[in-house]
Amino acid sequence: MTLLSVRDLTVELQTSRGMAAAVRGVSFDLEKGGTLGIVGESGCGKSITALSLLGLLPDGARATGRVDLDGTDLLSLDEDDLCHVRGNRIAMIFQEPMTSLNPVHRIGRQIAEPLRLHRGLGGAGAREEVLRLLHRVGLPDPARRINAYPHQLSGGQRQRVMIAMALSCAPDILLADEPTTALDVTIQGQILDLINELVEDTGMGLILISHDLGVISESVDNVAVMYGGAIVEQGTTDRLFADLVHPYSQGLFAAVPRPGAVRGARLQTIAGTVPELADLPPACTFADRCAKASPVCWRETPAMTAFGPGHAAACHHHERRGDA
Amino acid sequence: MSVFLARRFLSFLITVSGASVIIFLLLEVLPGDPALTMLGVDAPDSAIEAIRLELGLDRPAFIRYVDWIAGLFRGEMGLSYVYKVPVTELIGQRLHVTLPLAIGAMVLATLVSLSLGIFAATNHNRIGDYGVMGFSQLGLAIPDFWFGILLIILFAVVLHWLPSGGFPGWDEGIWRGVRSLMLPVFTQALGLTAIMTRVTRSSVLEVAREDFVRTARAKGLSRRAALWRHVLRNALVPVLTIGGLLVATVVTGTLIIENVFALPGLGKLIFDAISNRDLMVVKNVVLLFAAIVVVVNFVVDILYALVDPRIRIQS
Ligand SMILES: Nc1ncnc2c1ncn2[C@@H]1O[C@H](COP(=O)(O)OP(=O)(O)OP(=O)(O)O)[C@@H](O)[C@H]1O
Ligand SMILES: [Mg+2]
Repeated sequence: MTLLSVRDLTVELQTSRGMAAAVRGVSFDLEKGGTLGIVGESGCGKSITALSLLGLLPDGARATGRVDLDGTDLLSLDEDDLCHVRGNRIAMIFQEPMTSLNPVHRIGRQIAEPLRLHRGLGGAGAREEVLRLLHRVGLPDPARRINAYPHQLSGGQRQRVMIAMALSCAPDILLADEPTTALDVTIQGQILDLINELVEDTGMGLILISHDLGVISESVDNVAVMYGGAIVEQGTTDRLFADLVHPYSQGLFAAVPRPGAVRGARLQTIAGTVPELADLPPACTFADRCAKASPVCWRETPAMTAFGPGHAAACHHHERRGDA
Repeated sequence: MSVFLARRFLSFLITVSGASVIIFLLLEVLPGDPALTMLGVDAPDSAIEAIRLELGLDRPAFIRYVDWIAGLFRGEMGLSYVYKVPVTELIGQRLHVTLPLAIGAMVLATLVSLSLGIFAATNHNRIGDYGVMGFSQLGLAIPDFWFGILLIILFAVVLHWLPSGGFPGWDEGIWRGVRSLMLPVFTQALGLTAIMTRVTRSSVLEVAREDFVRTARAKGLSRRAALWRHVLRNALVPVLTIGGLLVATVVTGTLIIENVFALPGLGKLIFDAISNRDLMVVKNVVLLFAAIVVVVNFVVDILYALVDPRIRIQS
């Protein structure tokens, strides 16, 4: 059953050069309990996509399209109703555990906040629940740590606190925006395992944002590759990784150092850099960096085309891939 | 926390001692004979000799300094040369005016600037924000004494609502005292409010952009709740800093305000003492001013620690 259905989501942001689209016609579905990875280079619109699901876009932003959660269009909700969704039905954790917690409040209080807000839980009941959550996310010695301030915890511990907070109201969907990027490599694995385990246990849906294909391939059933605000390729994790279709996905994957690669060998990267929002090509946003680009790529936005079962890409040239 | 307090208290003692040495050096040791300063260069030698003896200026500087400090510990500050009464007594009387004036101005400025600053920040780049910023620009540009005179013209001369100056003493009734301090308090609060409003506004705006505020919103807190529960306490730190520094401005500002409004306060006392070259008074009142500023900053440090646990727990 489809829990979240995003259709033609377009988000325009205020930039120094006027309104510019950071998200362009993004569509995807998330089944109940399903897991989706969004992958792409920095600046491709992953975070803006996630924030638009919560209605937490920067001031002056304009979002159009539909974001249906159980049939309710979140984009049409007013602030009050959105507050009931945030932290309650959709919870989010962020990249920077160092700055994502309020430095002047004890962590127990910060975790209890959504409980009080959405469950009306206070006092001893809230404390008990916070302890349970801290225990659940594997924070050592919860009874003592509940009174700690964020600066007394390590990065990994803070991210566990963030996860406990997100978990507190048993949300339908967990949005994890690069939850491990800021952490030590050893801790990254632990946090990722914790998230996967929680998703499995609670049956909540997961949207995991990352620019790390390794992280994505291990954790989610479905993947969407984003470039320049648009999804350029999506499919089930197995099929997509088995057969990358879009030139951008191919470039992105080639840019990942693989185990066994000769140390010091040059990392293959995609030529050029991500242009500013306002400078993105009008039709296919990848046209200016794509080796296969032809005039049609500058004229017409490529439509999402099924390439096989559970696998689609938006590229004018993907059917010719075999010829090359 | 107790280590923190002890350290702060030590630095407080050091600062006040340093201030006392500097004051002493400036007034009594550096070139320029205090006796000559007091009587003027044309005074007869006999008179100068007499006052030297009276003030004990014939003794070595170090002894005089130790004497002064020892006296302070006994609660003695010597006699005013002009008024012939103990300086402690003079200061005591004058504090009745200056303390309410300074505290009143500080409290008023804090209340108004917190409200205006928060209001401006929550209306960022909208008409309310521009209005508040315009006001504060004006408040910064207008000199205190001139604003004081404008207030006198409006409220005393034209409307007859409030007295134009002077202070009847608290014996004449609280209300009369309060009335005569109203215009001075407004005058002094103007500049403070202008500065603190700006600091509050920019601090709130800055904290509102922090990641943890986004976290709070992602939990489901409304904009307003996130402001009250997560932004304000963090935004208070810079406001406290500036507020503490502004106390020095308030203290020195009493010189001007009390002159404009003919108030018998400490500012007026030191102003007259300087004109009359009343060395004992100048020396002790300046030290008192320094001590007030240092005490306030000590208090501000403690407030910091209360607001921000990172400061408290580090030390
Ligand atoms: N507040 C904002 N105002 C204007 N433009 C913004 C704002 N936030 C993001 N952008 C722009 O929107 C685009 C998408 O940003 P987004 O944060 O979604 O990227 P991302 O894919 O999450 O990148 P990263 O991996 O670096 O987090 C970028 O070009 C960025 O510069
Ligand atoms: Mg991001």
